[in-house]
Amino acid sequence: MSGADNKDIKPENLLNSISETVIENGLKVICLRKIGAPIVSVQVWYKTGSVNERDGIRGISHFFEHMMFRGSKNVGPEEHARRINDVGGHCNAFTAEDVTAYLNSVPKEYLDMVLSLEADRMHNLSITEEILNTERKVIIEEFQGNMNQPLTKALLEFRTIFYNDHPYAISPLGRLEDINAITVDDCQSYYKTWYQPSNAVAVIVGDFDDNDRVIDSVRNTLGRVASGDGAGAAPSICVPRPLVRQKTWLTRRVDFDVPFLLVGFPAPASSDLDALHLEILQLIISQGETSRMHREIVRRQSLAVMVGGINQCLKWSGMSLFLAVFTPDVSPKRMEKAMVEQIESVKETGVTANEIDKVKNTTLTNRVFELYSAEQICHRLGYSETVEGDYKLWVERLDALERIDRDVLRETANKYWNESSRYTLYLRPKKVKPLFFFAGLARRIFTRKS
Amino acid sequence: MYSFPPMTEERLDGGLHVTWVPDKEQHGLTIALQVPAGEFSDPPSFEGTAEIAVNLMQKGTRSLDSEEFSEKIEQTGASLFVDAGDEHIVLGCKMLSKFAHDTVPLFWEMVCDPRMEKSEFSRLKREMLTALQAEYSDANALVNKHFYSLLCGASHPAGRMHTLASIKRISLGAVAGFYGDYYSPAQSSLIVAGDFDPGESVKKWRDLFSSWTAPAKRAGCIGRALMPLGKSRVRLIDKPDVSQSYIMVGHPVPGELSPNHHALALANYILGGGNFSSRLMASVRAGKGKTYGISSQISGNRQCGIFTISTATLNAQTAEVLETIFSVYRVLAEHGVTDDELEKAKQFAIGNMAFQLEGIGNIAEKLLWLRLYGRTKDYVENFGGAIASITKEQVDAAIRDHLSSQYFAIAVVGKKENVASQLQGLGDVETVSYRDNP
Repeated sequence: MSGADNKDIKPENLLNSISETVIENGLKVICLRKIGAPIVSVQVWYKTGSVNERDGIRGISHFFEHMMFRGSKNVGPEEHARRINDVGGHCNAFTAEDVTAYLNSVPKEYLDMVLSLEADRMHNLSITEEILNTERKVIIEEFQGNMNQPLTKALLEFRTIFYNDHPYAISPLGRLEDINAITVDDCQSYYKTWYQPSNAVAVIVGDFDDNDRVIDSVRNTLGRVASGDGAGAAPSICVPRPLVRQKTWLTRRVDFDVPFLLVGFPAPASSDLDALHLEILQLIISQGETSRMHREIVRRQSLAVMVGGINQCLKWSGMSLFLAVFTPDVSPKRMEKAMVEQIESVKETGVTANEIDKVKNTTLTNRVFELYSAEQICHRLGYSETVEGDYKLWVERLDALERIDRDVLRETANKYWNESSRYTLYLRPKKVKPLFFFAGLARRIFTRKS
Repeated sequence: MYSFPPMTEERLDGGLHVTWVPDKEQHGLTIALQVPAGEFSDPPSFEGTAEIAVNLMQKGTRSLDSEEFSEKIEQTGASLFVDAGDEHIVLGCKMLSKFAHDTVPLFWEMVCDPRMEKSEFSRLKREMLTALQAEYSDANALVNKHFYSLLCGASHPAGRMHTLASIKRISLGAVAGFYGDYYSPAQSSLIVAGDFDPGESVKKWRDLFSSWTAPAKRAGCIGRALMPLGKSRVRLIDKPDVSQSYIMVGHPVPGELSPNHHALALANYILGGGNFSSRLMASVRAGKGKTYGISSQISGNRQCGIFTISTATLNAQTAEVLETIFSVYRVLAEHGVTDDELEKAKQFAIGNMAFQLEGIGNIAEKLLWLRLYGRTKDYVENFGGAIASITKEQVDAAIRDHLSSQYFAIAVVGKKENVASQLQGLGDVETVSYRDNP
């Protein structure tokens, strides 16, 4: 099992161990041999997602994520998943804005089986009216499940307003009216355009014998898929453009018992070095018990119950978000002011060397623990290659962190986190229990600031 | 077929059982303490005590207040983790091995000498109350709580839920009392797994861990086996704003320590535990498109086992989906499994063990799981043979004995005006508001 000394895949020399091959039909294959648990993970990432959709077929990428499990020429409906389960493995898939990825993990002796299964659905997918209509019902169930969560529903509306006329305005879930209208012809056209080897990346990580044999196996399976007719080229639907913003405040009444505030700013494309800078700043300001927001807003001022932040890193553009869950006795404007004060403090005085060290150690710890898992390594490589443009960016992030200049971080904060481009969403509970209100008020009055 | 990496086990002077798993795969280290007392040990009407206790332990030690403690942990990139189960609690820390000489003693001070400060206690209670408030919007959480309450009742710890009232009742003294009663070395197990020096580090940490001498005052509560249902119980939780019905159906089964456990687990995989390989998924999702997901589970407490089927479907399809669920269940009860299904279920169980032993985090988790049930690592190493030897007759017999109930607990969160009539005929329907306590 474990216990092996994977000395060649330690964080400091990971790059030397990863091989990259583009086979004859244009498919890129990234391999990393990781000895230890006798398993292998195979992920196929297609460079298509909701950003590549147009009106009328919003949600078709997600539709495909489902259809890819509904059978192909040599594999019956759900048989892909069943065959993998039958050997003790597991599989899944997800659809995002820029990519759709298919994830498989199996005991290592079944690597060839997985490659054959992936090849069959890359080339020979069954798209029939009957299957389409059954899966449409499943997708509507999934869509309704999301809409039944008030927070999710509000956040989907927030992104629509935030991204405005950018294709990211619509989430990978798509639009219900489009999901109801997508036809077999739409699917066949989408499949032909985007599900091509030259538009895909296969990532293979695990306890296999050697890279050459793996590449031979790929050639004998995915390599036999015809290269297509030039499809998979640069997306014609997506028009990357800078987000033009103005300060915005949105209030929504929702059936959610606690007030919630989201403060967002436009962020750069994930491949931009500024995205890494914003990620570091986010960690310092909003992640963990020692973050600035937690210390000041949760502990000292006792305004919020929970604070956090996230950078939505996408291929063409992103969102830099801060959030707070608070109690009804605190006004949302007061909450926003408290959050903005922490952001402004970084813009004015920058971050400390101690804070940078913490980010470095946290990132290194995360990397070390990711490297225990073939599946997580696969995911990181696949994401960086398809969304950021190069898998090496993930590997080199630790080096980039070592070179971080505190002045550059401060400049980045000033560049992106401006009042003029700030979007705030306030989710106001429909009902507030009076006791909850007064208890919160009393707490803040009598809580001594430290 | 599968084996753990080399390890050593010992019992220290204070009674603490320690397992050392040196593993050089990466420069990481995981340390995890398991106390065999979980949420079932919450005093009645004070549900939430165990959870507050384990969270409060992380808010400072005798020598460090909460901010100082967090600063020391987070500065090195380390992070604490908690798994609060029904009959156990795990408190652990993952860290870079290069900082272990500082972080392990810090972790241990937290275990032996938590600060338990009033202001931190108040803050934690507020967090838990807010989280409970937020659950009113989460139909999945609601159906889960109501199902267990309906099936187990208030006299069984599995039927008692955290509520706003129970959390408000809990005092700092009660939390400190819970810690004092149940956190002791003689009852606990510790795993140290990862990149450490098996000589010098073990010597130093053995002395450190031996310094914990708190006496064991009480044994954790083990949930007793539930009696079979004498009639079906049906509860509709009215939530007017949901377009789907969130459904949980189930009944008691034997617990993890039952001799039928493996046979039942294989039967469950075939019925609903096996994702796309399961009969329920094939019938309700793949065949009819009536749900995004459906699955069945058998909960794993020692004596008290609970079988559940969970799904969600549009309000108007509630009766049809329930009918399909019962039909699939009855076919299994009447005809058992096929040879082919059983063979595949066995292959899954055996093959999947490889993933459960990948990396030090999984290894530590598996070792603690074994300790909880009084099993040795031979259990895992002989697992393949044990599964392979199970026959169709044994699985069919387990189904006849334990998965052929005439009666069920059925909880449905949905819009009353659309769903109530669809539940007629299942039994007496109790209707409550989603704002009501389970």
